[in-house]
Amino acid sequence: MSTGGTNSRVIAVEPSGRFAYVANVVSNDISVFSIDPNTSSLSLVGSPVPAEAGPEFIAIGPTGKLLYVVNQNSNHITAFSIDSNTGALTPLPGQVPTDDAPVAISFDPSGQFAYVANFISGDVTAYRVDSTGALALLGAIPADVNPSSITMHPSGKFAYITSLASNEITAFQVSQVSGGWTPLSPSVATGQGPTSATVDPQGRFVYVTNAIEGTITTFAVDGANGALTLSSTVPAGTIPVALTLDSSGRFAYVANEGSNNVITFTVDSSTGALTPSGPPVDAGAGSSWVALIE
Amino acid sequence: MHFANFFVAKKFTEKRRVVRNNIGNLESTKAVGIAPGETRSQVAAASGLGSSSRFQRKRTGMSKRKFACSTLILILLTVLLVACGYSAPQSTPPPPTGTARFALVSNLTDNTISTFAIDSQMHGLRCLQGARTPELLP
Repeated sequence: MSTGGTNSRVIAVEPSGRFAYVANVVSNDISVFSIDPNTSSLSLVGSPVPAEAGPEFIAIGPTGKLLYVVNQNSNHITAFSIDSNTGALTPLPGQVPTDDAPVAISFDPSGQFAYVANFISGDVTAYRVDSTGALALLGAIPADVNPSSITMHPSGKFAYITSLASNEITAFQVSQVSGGWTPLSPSVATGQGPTSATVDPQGRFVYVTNAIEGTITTFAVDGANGALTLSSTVPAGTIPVALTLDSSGRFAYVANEGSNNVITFTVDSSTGALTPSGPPVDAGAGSSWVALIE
Repeated sequence: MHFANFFVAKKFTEKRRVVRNNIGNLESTKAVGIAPGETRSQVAAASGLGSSSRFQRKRTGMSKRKFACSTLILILLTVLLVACGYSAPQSTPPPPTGTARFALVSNLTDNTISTFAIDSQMHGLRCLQGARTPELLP
């Protein structure tokens, strides 16, 4: 189904599972879809909603009522309120600044803080989230070169940042009072070209897609201090760019942008190792994101 | 009638028939075995098995020997199996169940969304909407 936009990348599904949003990075807009709860067939709701320059990443906020948009080319975050009946988006006034080239946003599990990875400035900007969902900039945390993704541990105590240029992942300890981060040194090597990091729902493993070498690396998480240990690496398709786990943490779905397909993996519950559960399944050209509906 | 109930009822009827036959056999044995007024020793002598008490003793003796032999064979077999590295089969855990019913996939180059149903047992993806048509090879 056409998105009506150009360069459609990140999908965000509203918590009820009735609406999905797709960020169109080149046409600078957001497509809104309603989802049939029985068949999951999509219907485009109106025309794509204009956003700012380069909506590289979108996420539903902690309240489930706001959609946050990370605008890579205009270096700020904007937000839309979601109509719970129709799924329609209404832009909220104001913009919240980031640093240079923001590429991803993540909320801590308590919903009190938000963090944005800034690709060119090589840092993470931290925000306090108030009860209305408004963001207040707290400051910046230095990261490795070219941070490409950001993910929070479900305990809220740790955060992980992948670095595309240095092929590493860095773990941080998170203050749940101030929202500040302390790096846990040293960084750990990933494969070539890490583009995404995903923590499993139990917080025991971190999965990194290595786009250049076409693999997925599994890291074991030390639950006491958040440190990562390389556990295993498996081949994926060509240019794997995103990995999504189901809420049980037993199945992983990898979007391969180069081979235009999706691979389903079974997760070993004790080691976190991934095993393909079948051959890759063809999707459209440039498969770049998988969102699940439960 | 529901198929399951039908099979249960059929099984039950067959079981009753077997029990009834066994009762019939027992009754016929009883009728042929010892005639009224006939002693056990008379029956035994007629059948060439000797006296009743000897017959009993002999039967008990055979049973004990058989039991001892069987136990010995079982022990030897177990030792042999363990020595060969055999271990009792573990019960296979049930396959994990996924929680997702559908998957949406964004496609950056052709600006589409593909929709897939997720098989709850095999966890494979079945295209519902918008997968790429495979290239026609010469």
